Amino acid sequence: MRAFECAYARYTSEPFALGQMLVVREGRYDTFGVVTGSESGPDDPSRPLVPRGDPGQSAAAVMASNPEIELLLRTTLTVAICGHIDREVARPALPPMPPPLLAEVQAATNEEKVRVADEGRFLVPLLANPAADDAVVAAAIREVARAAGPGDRPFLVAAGKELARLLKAEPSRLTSILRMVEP
Amino acid sequence: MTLRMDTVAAELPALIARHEETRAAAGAAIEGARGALREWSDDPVAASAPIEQALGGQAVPYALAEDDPAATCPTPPLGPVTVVGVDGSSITPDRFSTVRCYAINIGHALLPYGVAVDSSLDAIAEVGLDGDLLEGSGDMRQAPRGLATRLLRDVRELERGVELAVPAASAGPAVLLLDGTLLPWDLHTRQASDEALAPYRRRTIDALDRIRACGEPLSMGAYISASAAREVVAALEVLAPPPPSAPPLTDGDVFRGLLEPGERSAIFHSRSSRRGSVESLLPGHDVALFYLRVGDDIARVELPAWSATPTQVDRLHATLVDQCERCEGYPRALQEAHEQAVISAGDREQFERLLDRLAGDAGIRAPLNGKQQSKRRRSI
Repeated sequence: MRAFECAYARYTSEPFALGQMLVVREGRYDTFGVVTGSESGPDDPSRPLVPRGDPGQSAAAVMASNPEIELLLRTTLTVAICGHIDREVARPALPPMPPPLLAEVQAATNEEKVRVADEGRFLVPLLANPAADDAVVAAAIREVARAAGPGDRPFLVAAGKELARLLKAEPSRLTSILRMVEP
Repeated sequence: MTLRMDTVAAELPALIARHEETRAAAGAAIEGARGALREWSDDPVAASAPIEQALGGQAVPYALAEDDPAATCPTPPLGPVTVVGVDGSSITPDRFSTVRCYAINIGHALLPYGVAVDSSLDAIAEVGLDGDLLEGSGDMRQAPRGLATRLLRDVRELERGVELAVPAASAGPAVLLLDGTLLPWDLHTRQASDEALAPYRRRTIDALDRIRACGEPLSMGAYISASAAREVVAALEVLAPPPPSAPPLTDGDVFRGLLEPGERSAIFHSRSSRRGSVESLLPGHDVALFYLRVGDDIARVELPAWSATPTQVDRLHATLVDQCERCEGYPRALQEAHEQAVISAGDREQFERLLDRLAGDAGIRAPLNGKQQSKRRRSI
């Protein structure tokens, strides 16, 4: 309910970024979440990935000369839910129901990111998720700031205040996140 | 634990000692066979005559070399190529099942190396009723359980290889690899009538004809790791009969000491009576073969005689060496095709349960026989 896993059809060397906001547009609500982790490896756990290639050979060259590898690997993401849209109303809170299984996961638009982030209130469900460590939270804030464009200052101030409120008992964590948010 | 390990463990040291004795005795026989090979190599034409005279028309399988039988060929350079590997797996109709049906899963790997073709790993599955395998003849019903399924699987493997390799060969040089013998052995079985086998023979011929029509861009090989064949040995034993006490040798025993890693033997042509019979059923599709050393393994590679041109053989040879280097001694494309094709014990059980459930939904409920019921419950 607080998080979900999703997977690419195959391996990708450029998955959605850490902290990027994604959306599932199926089910009763549009469910939004932030990427907290990414992992790539063999689909079949009984077939370990062994080192390939020659010294100095790039990963792309190794993949090109072993065309089966990409077909046997898969990239999976873990996503912490940070909000939902219920009948056009953006709510920075967990949805009452999880998104449906096998639904398509897409990148949220800039407009959706700003709406769901709701002046930093999306940090409440995010910080409540143990998977959202300092790096994820900072990346998520930067992501929304980028989406806000040149006028990102009000969002950054609001998000900083929200962070300070939520982490008043953890000043060292607050400092750590704020330092990572700084450009 | 059901195997009495305490019993078998006590007997294993003696078995290993006996094996060592046999190996020691084989050493002398191998030297004798290699001496015969040198003799054959000195004058291939003259030495082939007594072999043909002694073995021609007999049931003993043997092989004759195209040129120098002791020739060894190093790995040729490998150019851009698309490698297609095909392998199959099947579920035989179960006489205990409510609905007797078979399942065939044909896996493939299509791997381009320097050729602009999309790679793919996949499998196609098909199911049918036991009776579908009869192809209009009741005689296959008398064949041993599984023969018809196996035969259909072998033919579908070849056909799938054609479906993939022929288009690949139009985009550049390609190699089609099969696991096992080139021709389905069961095409020649006496456990089914000619009428029952005829459709499978026709389909095999059609598939081979399509490969042949591709010409030089497409090489083809059937790969047998650690082959126990002894067709070359049979020919050598005519030239130098082994002592009566000598253990039976395989062709691999003879070529293991002659071939360096990556080298192949001369091209041989299978002349066994059994082969002859199959080939007489498949006119124009004689089997040629060579041995290939991959690490410590001596693999047998069968190919259609019409594809034994220098270009096609060099491409096949270089591709197999490269493929084996990529996969710890076995062609990568065949390994991946196998992975796609394999039907696990879990898959088999799931298939059986699904069949039972759907049959039950359709109101078909066969009473469980005692053996089946007892095996399923395994109660104490």
